[in-house]
Amino acid sequence: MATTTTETKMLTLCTSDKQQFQIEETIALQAVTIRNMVEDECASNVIPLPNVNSKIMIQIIEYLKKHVDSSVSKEDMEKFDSAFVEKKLSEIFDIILAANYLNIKNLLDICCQRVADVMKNKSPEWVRRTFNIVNDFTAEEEAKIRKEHEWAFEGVDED
Amino acid sequence: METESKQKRKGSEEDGKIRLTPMDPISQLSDHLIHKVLSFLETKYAARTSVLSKAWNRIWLTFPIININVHYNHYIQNNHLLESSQEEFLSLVDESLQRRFQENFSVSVFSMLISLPSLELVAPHMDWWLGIALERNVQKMVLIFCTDAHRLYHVRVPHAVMSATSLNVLELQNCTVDGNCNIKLPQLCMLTLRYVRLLDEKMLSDLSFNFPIIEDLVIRSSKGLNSDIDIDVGLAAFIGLKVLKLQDAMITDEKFQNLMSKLPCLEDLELIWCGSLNRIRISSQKRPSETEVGIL
Repeated sequence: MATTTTETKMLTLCTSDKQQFQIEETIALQAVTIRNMVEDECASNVIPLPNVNSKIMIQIIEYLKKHVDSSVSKEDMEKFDSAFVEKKLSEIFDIILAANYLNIKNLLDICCQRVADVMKNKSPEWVRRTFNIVNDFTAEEEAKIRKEHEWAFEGVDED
Repeated sequence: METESKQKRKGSEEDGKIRLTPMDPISQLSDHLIHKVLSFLETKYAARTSVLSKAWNRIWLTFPIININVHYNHYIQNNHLLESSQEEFLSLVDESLQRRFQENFSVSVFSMLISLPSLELVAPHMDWWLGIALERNVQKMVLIFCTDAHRLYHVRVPHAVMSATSLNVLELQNCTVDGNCNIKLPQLCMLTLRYVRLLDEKMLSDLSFNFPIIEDLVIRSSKGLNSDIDIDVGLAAFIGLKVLKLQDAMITDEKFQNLMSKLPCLEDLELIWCGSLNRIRISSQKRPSETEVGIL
């Protein structure tokens, strides 16, 4: 912290599979978890991120690099975000976990929104198929809960 | 790793696109994160997840967001308001909340939009709903009332709301805040008042002196008991204010300038229809890019 150099300060992030990523500090500090580690000076030159693998880290860095750029207009940023979440759901889940751990609020929000958009207006059967959810209710149990939530089942989309 | 990715690759084909079937989100994400996903859905869509499986049912029952929308269009038939169907709906909400709040957990958001010509039927239910939220340390509360135009400010905000010590965000629309309620909002960071009448004109200044941590303040078309709210006096002690949005506020150039000098942290200022302002000067210690100025 004491050094005041004009050159760009770099941080090295080390993922769960021991890959190292060198990125500009300003980019990395958007992740609140990393910012706290740097501020508390509990991290040396290399910041270990045992909960993120390199495959996900590459995508998160892509996101952070875009979002650090203040010259990008709001519309362009929204375009970037909606293109960014066009991924397989399994990948989105991994990014949600990483964004939660790294504490990157907007990234967490857009990924959760993406999952929600998939579920919106769909029948439970469709959601079960899409997400591989095993229905462990008996027919009677399910009928009872459906009856209780009748109000929620108006206007379901065709599968 | 290898077997897992192979498993994931067993995709199904839908909408003409190849979809790779993921695992049940519940097996991968914590309850907190699933709740986060549900928070992006309308209540009825979120409630539907309760039939997916036992695990999803538990997730719904502990969902910490209460969102109630009572709109009179739901009960109108041939221009008559159907009281019976309104009662039916209200008991549905009661039952649903009762089921959900058997377990002991907190409520993070309570949002209620009531659009009815009269609150007679809804009032007792409303008090009970609000009670649940307040008991469970609600952090964000949004109360929006839409009544007939001639009954603007008709609804009184329950006193308990104004002393909800756990609240950090409060949004009120179209209601009246009584003068004799004991205001105790020590955690409040964001306050939005739209078409709100403050019977105690000193309410804002009391709030700002006693609980000055508010960072975000929006006042639209609101007024005091007999006159306009004294914006400059009322807001001068909100020294931590970063966002200020005023609409329909009566404030002179001089008073505005005086107020600005007392709000050094201001980053975002919006003034709409503040007709008595002619010329204002805004200076900021922050970089210009962090100061947004918009006058309409």
